[in-house]
Amino acid sequence: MRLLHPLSALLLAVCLSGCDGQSVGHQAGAPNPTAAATPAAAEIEWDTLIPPDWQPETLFNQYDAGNLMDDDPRAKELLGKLKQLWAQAPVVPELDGKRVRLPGFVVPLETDGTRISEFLLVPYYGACIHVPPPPANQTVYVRLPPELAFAGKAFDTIWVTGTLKVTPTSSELAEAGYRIEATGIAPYTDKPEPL
Amino acid sequence: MMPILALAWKSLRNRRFTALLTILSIAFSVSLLIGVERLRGEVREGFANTISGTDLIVGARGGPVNLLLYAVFRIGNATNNISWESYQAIAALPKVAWTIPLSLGDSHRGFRVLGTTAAYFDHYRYGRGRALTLAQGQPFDDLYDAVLGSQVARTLDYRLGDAIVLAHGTGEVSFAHHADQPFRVAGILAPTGTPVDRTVHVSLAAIEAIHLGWETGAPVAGRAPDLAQRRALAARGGLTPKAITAVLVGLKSRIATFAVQRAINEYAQEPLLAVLPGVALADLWAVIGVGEQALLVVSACVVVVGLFGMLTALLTSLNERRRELAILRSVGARPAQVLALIMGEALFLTLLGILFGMALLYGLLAVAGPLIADRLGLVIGSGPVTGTEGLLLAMVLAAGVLVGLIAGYRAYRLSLADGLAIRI
Repeated sequence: MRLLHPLSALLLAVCLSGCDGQSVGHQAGAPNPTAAATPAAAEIEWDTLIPPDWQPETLFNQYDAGNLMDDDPRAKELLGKLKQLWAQAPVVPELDGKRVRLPGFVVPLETDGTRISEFLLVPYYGACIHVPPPPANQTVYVRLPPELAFAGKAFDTIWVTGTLKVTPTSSELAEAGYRIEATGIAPYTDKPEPL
Repeated sequence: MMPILALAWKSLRNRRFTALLTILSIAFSVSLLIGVERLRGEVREGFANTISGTDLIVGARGGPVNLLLYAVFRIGNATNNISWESYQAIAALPKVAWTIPLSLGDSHRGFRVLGTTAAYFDHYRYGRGRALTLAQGQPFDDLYDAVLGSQVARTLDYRLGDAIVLAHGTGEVSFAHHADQPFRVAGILAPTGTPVDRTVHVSLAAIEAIHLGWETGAPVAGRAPDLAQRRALAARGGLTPKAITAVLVGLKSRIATFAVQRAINEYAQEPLLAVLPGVALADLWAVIGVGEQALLVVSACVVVVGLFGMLTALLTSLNERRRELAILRSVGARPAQVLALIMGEALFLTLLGILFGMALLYGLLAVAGPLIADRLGLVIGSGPVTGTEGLLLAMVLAAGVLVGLIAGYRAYRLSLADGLAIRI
């Protein structure tokens, strides 16, 4: 078998594709009827949050991944490097201050039983145990003012509108990543297309 | 319309006994429905308010719901402990702001004993960020100091300075007491409405101290050191735990939640599980939420039964009132007015039923509310009617009017001759 170790292969595959099954925002140009409500906010996709020049998949070419043996130490090295790259997960500083509209899944952080006041917005979540949770540049921290608190369930899909704040590098005081100062939320109405 | 409603009112007063019974059956069903709805909201809120401000719960690898249950709700038992080295590794992660180690497994007269550190009193938050406060005394300072949850102190009538003996295991009754090492009540926490109220808190070193000599699973005679030796050991720092049950972790930034969760879950030296409290709560709620829904459905069915009772009463009354209705018709009432009369009666019955039902509920809450709060730690608010409750009440009223329509339609169909003809 001139293949990667099955588990490594799986990890590599999901690193690149995300978990199939539930995924929103990757389908190009999913039109939304409520988009007109906040014309100032630009609708963005999750891929926008990844720097275009950051391409961990080019590593595959360096390593000639398709021809690696199962227990080749280079396969492990490749997997290690990929993991490391994703752990760094650089952000796009130019997006700071932009008014955006982004769809995603709600991973609750603070709730009072009926309303979620703080959550992480992610492009895919749940049901897929094979992949680790999304990296930092595919996670947006949202804290809603009390009057906007989301009256829904965990893992509901919603649109979040607001100003994107980017912390470019990790420091003692702050963690690199994205945060949206939300001015509005709306249920995500488009059914995610089956992949 | 008004004269007809006035007539409906007088007609009801004429048959006040049956009317009162009908109103009572509706009142009981309405108070049950709204009571259940209110309880549902409280349980849900109390549940979500148990933990706040904690970013990750870490324990031995197992189920997220199980971890949440034993670490936060003190229900069930841990699948395994985690080593002290792993705890220190977690606490040393650069993105971690604070950690609260938790050590469980002993009890005091049915209340769980929690071994922890001073960090518990500094960082544990419940109900949207409220901190624990001491009603009396101070956090533990001495090796044999204990801080009681409010319900523990109230139920067992303990005061500051009292001596208590911890039991090995978590049963309500135990035959293996740590009687040689009594604890002193150093502090009593203010009520929180969370499992903290039902917990006895001691230091991690105390948990180690009471188990010296228990290494084989039972106390070995002559092997156990005496109190002075244990204190001396503690003073030397020899009572550092080898293992703890779970850790609550607070992060410097919530954006790092997934990164730290991943680092802990992939920790190579020991299989660990880190869960987001909000996610585990949602998982748990998905399980018990079904029961809560079922409760509401059952109480809605009780309302339906109550309304059927009203329909029966109205239809039976039609038989008695054949002459009355015929006379109304003969003096010029149109069938539609007879229909309106019966519907008006149904409206009054339902409306009064709802009013009495709500009065009954508020009365019950005023009397039994403090008792429930005391026994179950559930505070059922007697606030104004909420939107959902208003909707439920409107639905009951609409159903009542519909019942009136059914009975009224029958009266509408009865001919003039039917009531005036001589019955054989």
